Amino acid sequence: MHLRTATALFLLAVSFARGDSAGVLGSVPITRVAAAPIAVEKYSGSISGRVNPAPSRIAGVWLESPAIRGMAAGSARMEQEGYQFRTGLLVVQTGTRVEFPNRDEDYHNVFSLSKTKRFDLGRYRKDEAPAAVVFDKAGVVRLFCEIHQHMRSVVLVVDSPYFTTTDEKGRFQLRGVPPGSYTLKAWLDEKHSWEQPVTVAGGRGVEVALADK
Amino acid sequence: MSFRLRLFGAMLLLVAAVTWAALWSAERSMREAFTRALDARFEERVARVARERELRAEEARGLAGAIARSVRLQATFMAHAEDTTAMPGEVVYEAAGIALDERKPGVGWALRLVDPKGRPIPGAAKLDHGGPSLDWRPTEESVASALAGGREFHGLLTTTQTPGWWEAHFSPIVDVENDSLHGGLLLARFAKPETDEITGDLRAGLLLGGRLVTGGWAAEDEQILATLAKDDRGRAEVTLGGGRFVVFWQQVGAGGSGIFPAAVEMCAFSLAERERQQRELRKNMLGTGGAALTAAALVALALANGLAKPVRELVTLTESIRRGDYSARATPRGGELGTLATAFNAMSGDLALKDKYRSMLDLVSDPHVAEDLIAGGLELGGEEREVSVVFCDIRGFTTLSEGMAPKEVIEMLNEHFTPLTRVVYEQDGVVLHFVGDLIIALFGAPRRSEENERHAAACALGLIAERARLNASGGRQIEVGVGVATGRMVAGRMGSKDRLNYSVFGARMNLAARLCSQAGPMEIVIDAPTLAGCGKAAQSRALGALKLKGFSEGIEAFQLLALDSPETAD
Repeated sequence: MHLRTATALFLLAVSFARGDSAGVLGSVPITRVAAAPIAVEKYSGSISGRVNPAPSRIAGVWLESPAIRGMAAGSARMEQEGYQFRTGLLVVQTGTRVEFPNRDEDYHNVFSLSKTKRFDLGRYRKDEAPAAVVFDKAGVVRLFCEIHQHMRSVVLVVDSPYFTTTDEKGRFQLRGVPPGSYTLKAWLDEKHSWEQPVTVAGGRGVEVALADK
Repeated sequence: MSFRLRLFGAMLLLVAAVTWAALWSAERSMREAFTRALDARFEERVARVARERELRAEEARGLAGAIARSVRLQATFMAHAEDTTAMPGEVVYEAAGIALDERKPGVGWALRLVDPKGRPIPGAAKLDHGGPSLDWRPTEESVASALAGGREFHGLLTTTQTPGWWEAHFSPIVDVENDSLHGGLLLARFAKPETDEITGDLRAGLLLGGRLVTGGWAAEDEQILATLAKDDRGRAEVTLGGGRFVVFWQQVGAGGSGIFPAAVEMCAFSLAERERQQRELRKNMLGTGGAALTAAALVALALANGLAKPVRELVTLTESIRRGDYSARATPRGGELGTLATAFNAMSGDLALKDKYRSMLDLVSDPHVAEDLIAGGLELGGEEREVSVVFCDIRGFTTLSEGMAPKEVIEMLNEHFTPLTRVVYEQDGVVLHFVGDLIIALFGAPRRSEENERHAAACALGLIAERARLNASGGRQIEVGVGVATGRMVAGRMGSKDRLNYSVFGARMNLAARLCSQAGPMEIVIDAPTLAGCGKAAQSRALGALKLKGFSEGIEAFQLLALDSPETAD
């Protein structure tokens, strides 16, 4: 395992050295959680399609710095497909407008009671215009589908344009980061978050391996 | 105590005892049957109530489960746990209320929520909006441990609005995604007793936490009932509100979780019906007993009478026999009393006969003669007959008996007379008298005979011979002289009516006496007619004409020596 990681890192480092934009790469330890079996309940209707497996557990990683300010946010999408949210964790910059299209045959509903953003899109079908929410505050927003109790997801709103998510193994890469001093933050769930100062130098990548506390 | 009274008493006692025994046995059976019936009814009711409660519990369980799994509720719980200010308890209850209403459960439901530590989540009041109070105040520890155990509980809770109670279901709220514990949910439905269960001969009651929540009883009665339910189940007879009741109770639902109070299901059955039935039974039995008693008394009376009458008759007859009326005869009848009557009649017949015998035996000592006399039935007065009379006395008796004591004399005479009397009888004679040492025997009366003289003569000879034999065989040396005379004499029962004697008198009696005194020791002197009567068979010696006192002329007398005739009877 170490050898493979080392090799990958080396190659990445090489590519960096070839003059790609500077960035941060590293890994976040993804703790395993016992997967709850998906109980196909009797819903008010019935499920017309197949239920996809739950999205993988991933962490969000971003760089914060006081210098980053007032940057324009874009938009993003969180689809509901196969009776699951597309991803278990969506990281967006503060101010992003997120759409929640329904790709399944049945009704879906998206709501959140989180302090960061409380909203309820009501029930809507595939053919309806997808609802959208602007996340104007940084924080954790838990998503639920009122109809399908197993559908859970999180929108992580961060004050930074430099963010990404890890793969299921916890590996990440942040590109196009201007040189400077930042705080690298990672978030897996309420109980697992990391923070580490990091300096990005021009033309060179930084490696960070976050450790389990 | 009379037989009748004893019989009556015995019958009375028997009937009374049987009636009492039957009554007691019947009452006991009835009581047992009643209790068993009530037992069965109670069991049936408890089972039925348990089934109904179970059905409702199922409903509540399903409902609670659905609410607990509600996404909105779980989301709300999570948010509330995160920040109670941003997400106050009221909102959580709102979410729960919505989840409940979505399932259209009907009326009468209430909700309570707790956090994982067992603390109640505030804000329930808004949801209750004016319904009956739900008294649920368990300790936080008991709720927390129940939640930790992850089990569901069902129980009963009190309310201030009686009659009524809550049927409640408690379950943990577990996250559907990751099994983490969000808190607990209590879902309760209000229940009321059915009116017919508070009235009527079966009165149901539910004891919750020591209080009777079904109502329908006075306060004192409630206290009595509350103190009864000590064990798991039981039965007791108590007085409640002026009546006797038998109360059954059984604990329902485990209050042991600590979340719910102890609940006891109770049933009180009025014993009025049983008592009424018992009174009815007693009345009937006593009525039957009374009738039986009357019948028994009548039967006893009849039986006793059937016995008393013949007994009385026999008593009366016995009295008349005592008075001397031997004609008394009892009425013949069947049975033992009939046997008694027959025996009595035989006895009185015998007595009558004996009486006759006695009076006859006063007259004669000859039983044959006595029989004849009885058979003949002689009248007062005599009849003139041709009879022969024999006088036999002891020579020198006075001298002989001089030095002897009177007892000795009598002994001697009895020893003398007995064999001599037999001789007379052997000759078909009748011993008329014993006068001192003198025997007077009669031949020809009362029985007629053609051969008086011969019999008399043979008797005289026999007397001598017998006396001689006695003398020879070592008895006292006694010598007799015999005189025999024959003639017409008057013979019959003479004397006063009350004392009759058979007697004979006439001149020839005198003659016989004189002839006897003329005879020497062991000699027989007879008169002419006697000799003539004997005929050729007599051997005699003429004595000539004797000059005898009382006779003007001399009487021809002979000494009888022997009588040879084969007809001489022994």
